[in-house]
Amino acid sequence: MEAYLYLLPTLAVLGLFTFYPFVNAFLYSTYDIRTRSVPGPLVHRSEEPGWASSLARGRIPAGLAEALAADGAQADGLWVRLRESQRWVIRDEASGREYIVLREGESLRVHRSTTGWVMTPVGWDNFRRVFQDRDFVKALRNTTVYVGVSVPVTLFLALLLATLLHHAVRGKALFRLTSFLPYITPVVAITMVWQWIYDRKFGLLNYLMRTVGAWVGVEVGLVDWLNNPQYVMPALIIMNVWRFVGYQALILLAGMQGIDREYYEAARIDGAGPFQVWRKITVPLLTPQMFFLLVISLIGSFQIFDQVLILLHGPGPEKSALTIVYYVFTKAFDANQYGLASAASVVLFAIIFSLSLFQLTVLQKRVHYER
Amino acid sequence: MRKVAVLAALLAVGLGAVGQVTISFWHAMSGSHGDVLTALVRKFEQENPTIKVELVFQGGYGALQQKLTAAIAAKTPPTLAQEYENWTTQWLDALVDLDLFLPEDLLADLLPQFNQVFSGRIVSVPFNKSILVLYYRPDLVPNPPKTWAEFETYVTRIGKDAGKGIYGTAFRPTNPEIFLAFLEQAGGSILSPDWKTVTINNAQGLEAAEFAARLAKNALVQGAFISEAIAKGITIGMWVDTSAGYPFNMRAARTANVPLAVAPVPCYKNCASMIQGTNLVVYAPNQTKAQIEAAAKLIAFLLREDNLVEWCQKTGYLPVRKSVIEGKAWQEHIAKDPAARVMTEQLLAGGFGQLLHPRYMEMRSLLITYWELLLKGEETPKKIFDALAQEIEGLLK
Repeated sequence: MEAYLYLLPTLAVLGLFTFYPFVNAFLYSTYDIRTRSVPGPLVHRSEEPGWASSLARGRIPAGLAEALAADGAQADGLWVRLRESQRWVIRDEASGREYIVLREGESLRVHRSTTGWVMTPVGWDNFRRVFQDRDFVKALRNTTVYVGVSVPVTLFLALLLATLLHHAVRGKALFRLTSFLPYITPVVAITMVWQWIYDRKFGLLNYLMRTVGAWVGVEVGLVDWLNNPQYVMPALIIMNVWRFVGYQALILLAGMQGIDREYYEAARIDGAGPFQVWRKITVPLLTPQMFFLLVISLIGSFQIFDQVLILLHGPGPEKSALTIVYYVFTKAFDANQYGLASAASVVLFAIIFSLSLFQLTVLQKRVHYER
Repeated sequence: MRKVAVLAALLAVGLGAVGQVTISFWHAMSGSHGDVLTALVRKFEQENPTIKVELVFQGGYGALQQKLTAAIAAKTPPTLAQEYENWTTQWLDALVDLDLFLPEDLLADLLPQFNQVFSGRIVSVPFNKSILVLYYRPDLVPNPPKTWAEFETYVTRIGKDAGKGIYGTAFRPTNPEIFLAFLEQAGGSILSPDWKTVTINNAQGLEAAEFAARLAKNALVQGAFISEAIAKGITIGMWVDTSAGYPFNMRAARTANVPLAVAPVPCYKNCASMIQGTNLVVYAPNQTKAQIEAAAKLIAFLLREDNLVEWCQKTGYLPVRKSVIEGKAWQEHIAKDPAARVMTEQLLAGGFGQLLHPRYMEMRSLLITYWELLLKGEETPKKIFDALAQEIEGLLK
């Protein structure tokens, strides 16, 4: 019981900001969501022909005022705020309540009304629309390329870096700190700096490439990293590999330092060279850490969003950097299509979930936990 | 005696506060535009001591749209906000019929070019409006083109040399409004007048698309504002851009030390040009009638001749009222400022606004995708526009 009490703050925050939206995303994905004034309980029914023309002029017919007064409204505080040809919305200023008048042929129905989200169930329609949307297919492709390249490259480089850090004697602490810095710097700040690094004319990267090119006698053209659709994805990948390599290396380094020295001594007695030791002892015994990093970075990479928003101020030229989360964001907050956006996010969840499941069931069998 | 006076003063303040109304106004006017708006709103508060306006700058149109979307979903919108027509269609039911709160003569005085009727309702009033005009380099284009043919001849003559940074014209894929102006000029439209069929790929539509595709061969195509390219020293003979970009384009030209001037966009079957910029709307949820009346009062104040002229002179936006455009103050202004005269004439000659279809938001997103494909020129305009038409048809179902 006491344990639950200690867990309560975490559970409350997680519940409010993770589980509740998580469940709602599933719910919303099967609805079409729009802001509308909708009729509630019926208050009155009428055949008075004059009402519609009165309402159209923004006036409340006396008979209607009486009917609404019977519902508790204050007759002199009623006013019309919405007039269409077949429906009108009236506000009762005293209570703040709204009524909607609907015309069907000759008859008028008066309901209490609310204005807000109206959710119409549409079944799988949102999912069908998501998969028919070229932009989503493009986002899916872009994200897959991003994950497929950046995750293995980062992990491989991190492994190399960790090995170097493990062996380098002088300035180890300094190297460790510098390689970890990108990870603890805010993404926004990093991205702003990279924006400059990638500048076609004044950027550091083009300068370096040209300088190195000149040394070896090759003329390197100016690469328009952020405006040429071909280079946008590589630019994004390079930046993120740089950002995460230090963090991953640190985790791997900790793993390396935890490996029992006896294995190395035994290998050396058996006459193994340094590379053989690394390949046959270090790497296999690091698989738990590598597995952890793979799972975490795969999930994180699929959710790439903020770097795109800041680096490119949009989905990039020809939407070459449109990622799934960016797609979800624009559909919800620019296009006002919450249902569609939720469906896309559910698809993303399904992808991440099945990949993680694959990792936990199939890949994990290859992880050496025994020491 | 002094105690009584202090007490009386306090009482007076207290009584004043009883009739006090506070309204919130969300906007996206940055920099000097924001300063002008703030000054006008402060003047309004002085004239109406019982009304307090919380002016909230939301950082830009994108942020404003996202915050409005979220606020309306949460039923806590501001009293008053700037918004584009295609946002308005998303939450029409949350808005107040403004014709019930604004003076009839004010509404009747709005230029028909700004006509905005949503499902038979008047829920918005034009405010910061600009229009597409032609920016040109007088040293390269001594007589700005008056027709499509002249436009094309000039653009082809200047040509394209990416290495030297020379381009006949420039287009932004994110700005399909330029294409819509060509479309209107060719007599085409996105949809038929009854909104039942897609007409964007008919003969007129293809004529506009082919014209744009021919121009695109000698064009700089980039996502960033054209002024950024100008400031970097890139040469662009002429390009169609909003009049609201005038200060930015002129500043860029000064930076690059090149001459720049404005002219009306070249004409084809007519001289249509697309109106840009946002309108003012008033929200119903969470607002009292007193707040809504105060918001309407502020709108009327902003559109009063003296204020409207000040707003337009200082920001470069166009007056939205007929009487103000014809009025002495504005006429004197454009007599002194040739650029403002060109923009005003462009508005009167052929200003048209957004399609007020409820799904125009999505149509515009499709337009951006296909406009970019057209500018890239890898497929024929017909193929691109047939595919576009098919996608728009999907939206109409």
